[in-house]
Amino acid sequence: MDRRGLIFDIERSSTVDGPGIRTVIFLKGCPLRCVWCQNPESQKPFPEIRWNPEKCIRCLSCIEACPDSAISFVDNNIKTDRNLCKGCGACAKVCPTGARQLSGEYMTVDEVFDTVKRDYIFYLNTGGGVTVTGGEPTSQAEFLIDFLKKCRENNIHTALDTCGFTEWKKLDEILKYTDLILYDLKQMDPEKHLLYTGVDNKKILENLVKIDQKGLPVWIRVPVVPGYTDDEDNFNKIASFLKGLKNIKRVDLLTYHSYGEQKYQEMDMDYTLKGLKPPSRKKMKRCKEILEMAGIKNVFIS
Amino acid sequence: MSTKLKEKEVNASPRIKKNLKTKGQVHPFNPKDPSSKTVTDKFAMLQGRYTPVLGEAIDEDGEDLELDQLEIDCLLNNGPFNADELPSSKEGFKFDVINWAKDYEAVVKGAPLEIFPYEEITGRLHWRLYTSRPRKYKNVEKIRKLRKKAWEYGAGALVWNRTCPDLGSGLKYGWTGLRDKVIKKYGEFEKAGKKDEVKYLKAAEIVCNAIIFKIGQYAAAHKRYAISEIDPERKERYERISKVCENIAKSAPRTFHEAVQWIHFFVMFDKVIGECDGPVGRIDQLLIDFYDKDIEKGTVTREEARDMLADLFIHLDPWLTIGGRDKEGRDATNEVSWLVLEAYDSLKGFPGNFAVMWHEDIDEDFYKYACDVNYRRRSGAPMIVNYDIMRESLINQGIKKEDAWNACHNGCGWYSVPGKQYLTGDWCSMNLLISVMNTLKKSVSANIKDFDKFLDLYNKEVGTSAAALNNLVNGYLDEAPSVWPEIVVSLNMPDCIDKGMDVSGGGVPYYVATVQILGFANAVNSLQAIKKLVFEDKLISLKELIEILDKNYKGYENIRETIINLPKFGNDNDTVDKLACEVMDNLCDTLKNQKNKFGGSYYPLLWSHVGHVYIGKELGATPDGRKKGETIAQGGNPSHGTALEGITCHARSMAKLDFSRFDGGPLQMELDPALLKGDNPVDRLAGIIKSFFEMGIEHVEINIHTLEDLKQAMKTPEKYQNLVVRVTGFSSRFVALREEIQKEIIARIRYKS
Ligand code: SF4
Ligand code: SF4
Repeated sequence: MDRRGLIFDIERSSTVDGPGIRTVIFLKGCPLRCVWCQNPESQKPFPEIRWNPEKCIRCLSCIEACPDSAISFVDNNIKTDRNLCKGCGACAKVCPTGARQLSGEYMTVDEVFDTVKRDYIFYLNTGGGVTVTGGEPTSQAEFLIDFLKKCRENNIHTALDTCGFTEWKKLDEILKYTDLILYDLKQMDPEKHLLYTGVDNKKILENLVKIDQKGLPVWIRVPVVPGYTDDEDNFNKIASFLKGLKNIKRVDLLTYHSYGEQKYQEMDMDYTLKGLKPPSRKKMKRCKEILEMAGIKNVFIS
Repeated sequence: MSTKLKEKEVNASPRIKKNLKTKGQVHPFNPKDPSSKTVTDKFAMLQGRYTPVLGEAIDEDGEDLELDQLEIDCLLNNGPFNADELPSSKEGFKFDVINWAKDYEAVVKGAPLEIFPYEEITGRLHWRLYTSRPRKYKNVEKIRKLRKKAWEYGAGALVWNRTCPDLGSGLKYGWTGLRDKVIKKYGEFEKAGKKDEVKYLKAAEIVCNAIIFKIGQYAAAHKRYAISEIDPERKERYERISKVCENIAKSAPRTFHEAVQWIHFFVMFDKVIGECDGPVGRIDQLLIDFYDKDIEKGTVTREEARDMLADLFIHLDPWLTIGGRDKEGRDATNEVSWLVLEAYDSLKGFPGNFAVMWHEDIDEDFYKYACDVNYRRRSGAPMIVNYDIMRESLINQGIKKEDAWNACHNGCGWYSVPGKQYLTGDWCSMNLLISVMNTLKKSVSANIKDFDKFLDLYNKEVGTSAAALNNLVNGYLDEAPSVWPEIVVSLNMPDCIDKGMDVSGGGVPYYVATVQILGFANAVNSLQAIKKLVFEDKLISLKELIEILDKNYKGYENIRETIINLPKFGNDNDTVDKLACEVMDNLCDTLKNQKNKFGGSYYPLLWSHVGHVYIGKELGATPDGRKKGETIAQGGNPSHGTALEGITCHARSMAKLDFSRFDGGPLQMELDPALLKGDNPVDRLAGIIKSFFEMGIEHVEINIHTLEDLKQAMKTPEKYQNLVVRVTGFSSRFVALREEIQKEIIARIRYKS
């Protein structure tokens, strides 16, 4: 299997992305641009370089190593000309402190699986497995299918974390190798959805209905972002939409936080939600309550 | 399963609640008065003083300083024994077991009885031999020299037995039966003209008589209490206890009640010698026949039996072990195993030290219940250990299969065969980080040019350290039987009576001794850093590295950053982990080559009490990026702040080590409760621990606390009086620990999600 996927992180010992102890594979590239995105490095479908000024000891090794002269030293800072940078990672390799990091590595299915299989015992004993997330994993459908097949062959439980914005035909094929779907619902209002994420939510909602009809277990995940997704109207609509579905096993309300802000800086990107506070505990409880009053079961705040 | 477990929560009976209140009360820690810090604290100071580096723990007169300071029991103290009253003070001190036994007799006979109104199992003595009789050495100069030498090489020791007796023989014969055996044996030795053996057994007879006398006193006292008691329930209880004591003063125990009382007395009388002793062994195996018989006869109820076991926990905090396999390899879990767990459960997070021995065929419900108690009570007990690895490791140390099946955890981190093995694990130590630093210094003049040569030099250094340790141990072993015999334990080691020799003097079949290993992860990470920076990248020379460390990395922050960025042990990184395995393999081989005076070799115990905190304070900067004064890694766990890839990686790195060559090595697991959040936290905890064991981990220590709680407890201790944590191999109230240790616990890697 020579097909390579673009991976920007592999996280082990996770207990928040599906049942049991899991290994989470982050595939790079996403068709959405949610304003609250906490993984800016997940968005673009090519490797990108990051630079952490706190870890940097200004040894300037990176400048020397760059074959495209994309790096310069200005005002005691390392600057990257992102037009010149090809994302080759040569600078990150020589950086002694890890201040310079490449997000995105092309890996074969076997390479990824080599890490995954290491925690097989934990999957078995805790009802865990693998979760593929992103970015948007379905944007690398072929790789994804190969990888999920490999997990299946090796008897590892698979979960797919998706925003649902993808062609049904592709998704349908992927679902053949998926045991559990973690499905993001953000904003029910199509216009707001377009405004905040860059795409319309029609396809997303249609796909969820189709998945539900296939009878696959689904966990819904709703990011609760103050001023963007936390309005009562949105939650009422989510509630009534979910009530029409049969196989929703669980709903997780994800409390917005701004831990990703630093990464925006590291990538020379602007963070538009600067200063936005996380929703209050009370607010989270209220959102949960709305869903529960509509008869939705297993709603969790995380 | 989960619903069943919920119902399993056991609450204390009214009697146990009262007993806890009157007897098991915890000493309130007063933040304004640090001297109110308790048990583990003083113990901790002691450990910090000598276990990791040793050498300084001997004063001008050749006495162990620390043992005098070791006033462990803080619950209640009715005054120390007046040392002037000791026979050895009045008649003269001699290096002689009879001289020793007479002192023991005086302390035991003289110690005030302590009786509490709600206990079913009685007995507590607060006088201690080690705080009254001086611990002198015949050959002080020699011992001092050996200590100093060992100290230079990062090794240290004090021979103080930490072994597990076979209480099965004591329960079978009783004190009187043991005494009869002793008398019969010395008769035989007299005929054969073996003077030393006769003398030793005569000392043993004195000890037996003192014990029997004291038990008789307890019987009489309870009879008196019964006469003046008006409350009918208490009156009846005093009468019952009086009978129990009376019986075991004159014969072997016959009932469950008598057997538990007998065990309790064993612990009590043993603790008079040295606080740190008193492991009971596999209590479920020891008691099951008594229990079955009494249940059949209807002379004890299940609840009564459970409460007696709860009394044991409240009393003296003995080391207990349950679970494991039987001789035929079947699951040995029985009704008493359940009762022990339930008894502990009913005490609602009382600090306790006992182990459940897991294996593949263990009763699944029982194992889950053990996890459940850990999860609900949050006191780090029971610790859960891997029986099959323990057994295998004992066999690898040359212990016969027919003995090794009886493997039993009998201390914070170590295990042995009850009744047959002498262990030194709690008191012998080697600090690998000191070996690394010594190697570094020597490597410059040795003109080392590649890493393999450096590693050779390091291994040689470890060899020198091990030899120095062995010499010191032998120095002690020459003295031990006459300086500090351990007769109460030896009486319960059948071979000791047969041979007329103390456990410290060649009486048992096995003398494979254990060595605490400190600074393991730091040593591995340091070697890795030297390999990369000095030999591969040639960034700095060995000489420069020494200078940088001398300056505590000051002015060399880039070097330190570079080191910090290198892969570290504990992240499932195959390169570093391979080096870690090499370090341990070499250590095992090295230790195996050392033979003590009884022909036994050594093997490592990847654990330290709290020495890692204290030795850290005294150590300068080290090549792993650690700055001067910072704590060093705990046992076989990754260094603080270096395991970044989650709990599975922490475990996988450790599991690559071959635990079947060690005498244990706990994986310290600090879990944020959030990690277990979900439908069934107990199932998840059970699954995680089972995974560890299937990978080859030998021992798991569990703390389930949020960081916030621990930090708050440091700030407002009065509100957290009952917060109990697993420190290393033992549980303690958090507020009663010294600040350094509290901070070390807080600095540990905490797994959240
Ligand atoms: S990733 Fe490659 S091209 Fe980009 S800055 Fe680094 S070395 Fe230059
Ligand atoms: S190589 Fe790393 S540490 Fe050195 S200047 Fe570049 S980013 Fe900073």
